[in-house]
Amino acid sequence: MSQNLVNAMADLEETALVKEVKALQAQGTPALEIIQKLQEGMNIVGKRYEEKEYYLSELIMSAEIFKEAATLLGGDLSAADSHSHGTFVMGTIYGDIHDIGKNIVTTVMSCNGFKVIDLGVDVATADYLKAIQEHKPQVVGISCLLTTAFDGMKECISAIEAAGLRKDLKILIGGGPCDQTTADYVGADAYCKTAQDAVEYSKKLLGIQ
Amino acid sequence: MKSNQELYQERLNRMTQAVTLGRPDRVPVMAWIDAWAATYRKGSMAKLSQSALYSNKLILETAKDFPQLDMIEVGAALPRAVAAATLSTVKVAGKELPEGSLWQVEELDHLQEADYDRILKIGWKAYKKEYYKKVLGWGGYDTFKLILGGIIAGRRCKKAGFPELSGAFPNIPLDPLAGGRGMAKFMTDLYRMPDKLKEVMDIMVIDIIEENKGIIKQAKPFSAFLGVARGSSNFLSPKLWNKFVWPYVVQIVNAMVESGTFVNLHFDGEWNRDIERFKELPKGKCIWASDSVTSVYKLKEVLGDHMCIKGDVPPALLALGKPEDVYSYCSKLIKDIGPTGFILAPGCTTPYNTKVENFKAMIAAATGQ
Ligand code: B12
Repeated sequence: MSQNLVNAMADLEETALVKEVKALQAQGTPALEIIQKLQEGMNIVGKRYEEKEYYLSELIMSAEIFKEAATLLGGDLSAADSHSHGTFVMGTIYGDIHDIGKNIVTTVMSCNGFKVIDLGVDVATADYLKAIQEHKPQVVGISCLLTTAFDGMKECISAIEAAGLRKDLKILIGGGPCDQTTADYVGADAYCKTAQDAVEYSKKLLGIQ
Repeated sequence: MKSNQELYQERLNRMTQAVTLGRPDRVPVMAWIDAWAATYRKGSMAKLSQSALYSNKLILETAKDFPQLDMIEVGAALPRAVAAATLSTVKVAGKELPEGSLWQVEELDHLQEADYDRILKIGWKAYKKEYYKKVLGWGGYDTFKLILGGIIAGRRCKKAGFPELSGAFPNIPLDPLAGGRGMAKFMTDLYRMPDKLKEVMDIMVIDIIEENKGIIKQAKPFSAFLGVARGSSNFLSPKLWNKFVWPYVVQIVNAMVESGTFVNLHFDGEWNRDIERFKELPKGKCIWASDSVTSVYKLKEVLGDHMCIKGDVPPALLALGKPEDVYSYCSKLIKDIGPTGFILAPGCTTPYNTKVENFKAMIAAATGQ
């Protein structure tokens, strides 16, 4: 029963989840269908997090279990690529190394069916430009937890614009000290308070239910 | 003109009154100045990040321009020591980074699962020594040099009339383990091998307490700095927090207080869920230092009669706000959280792009000048 899988994911029951994935595989269930069940479980995790039943510890654990299951399915999250809603390029701006929040955003986005290109931390403007040219994302995310790196975001966004790459994409920013004023200051399209905001914004942008 | 020694005593008294929940003549104001000293003094970030004594020189030059400051958090900027305490490596200006850059703590997984067994076998003190040698390339001499730099910096602060807030730096076991292992791996370890981690932490805390008791006996600091970066209430569910964070906070605080020092609870991030618990700590002995994310109003309401609160001028306000806004934020804090049991200060460190007028506005709110 694949409802077991959804529950195992939502309740972070690692052993049960691995067992269930293997059983479904043995029955010949398509990988994509299994991934969709896992995503359903992840949505419950997300909801429990918003409701403060879960905390960062549970979000991170859920991401690890999800990755583990995806590996079992023969590959990483890109198993769902052919089916992805769109592409999301994300990194932490140069000068800044905080990545706990960024990793949550990338995980939540990939669990929601986006193809995610994670550029890591301390990412230079040139690397954003290169990734945008190469992957043609619809959404770019920049994470920043240091007020001292706000000017870096501003410079990066201007450079994306100057390179003529701004037309077909939206730029989101987020991270502890950011707010709408920061988004206005650096010239981003939107400020997101949580990872879930990024999902909702991107889905709305791309007309996905 | 008061002598530096008189000023030192006056500042110390004001801070002591605040911490012991007495009545200081005014709300004390202080700051943790590290990278900002390089900006303010137009000094070299590369040298500041690498030399304890150079950083101490810039910090004291900065402090002297703001003589109403009652304390500075620490007399030197020691990014390498701070990173090493949590088993992290750090990139600094002039080495891995260009001059002018702020240091960057690296998130790597130097610590493997087998290391937990190693700690159990040889103890934390010996393990740390091994780790420093292997991962950081540090020998005993490097550690000694850092400690010596800190001691000399402390003496120079005293001579200049500025007391240091903290002079011993214990950690709860969670922070070095999570720093050395990497956050994601560590969190999954908490799920996959909770009993082993508990055992490791119980071993670690013995050495942590012993080492810091020794330091306190020698150096007699105003307070021990207990910083928790990865154990806040929004990081861990209550079940994990009650097992892996709180028992060690209690043990360490009690041991430090017994050794005769105050404890500076440097708790960045969001702790709202668990504020009630802090009533379990000894009264009038701790400083709850908030970076502005935990609700300072809730802290006052719950802990106002129990411990002193420090903070919580937000970094973004100091860096980007207008002096009027800083002044009114700080005046409101003094009115609502003071006049007793409160120390006005930036949330965490003074950001390196703090505007000078904003720093002045913060001080003016406390001194009324
Ligand atoms: C953990 C932590 C660290 C860890 C980082 C570990 C890691 N690998 O990330 C360590 C200890 C290494 C560290 C180092 C430093 N830190 Co630090 N750190 C923190 C702390 C306590 C928590 C940050 C965190 O992980 N929060 C939890 C995550 C989940 O939240 P989040 O990142 O905000 O992400 C959520 C949302 O914002 C959103 N989101 C985030 N990004 C994005 C992006 C997009 C596009 C979207 C859509 C959404 C989104 O989604 C996430 C989930 O909902 C904060 C305190 C605070 N108040 O935030 C300080 C803090 C960020 N650090 C700070 C500082 C100053 C530093 C140091 C310079 C410290 C020093 N003085 O030595 C260094 C070096 C930093 C550097 N050069 O980059 C300051 C920044 C102040 C400022 N000037 O702005 C803070 C605010 C503490 C303080 N009050 O002073 N830090």
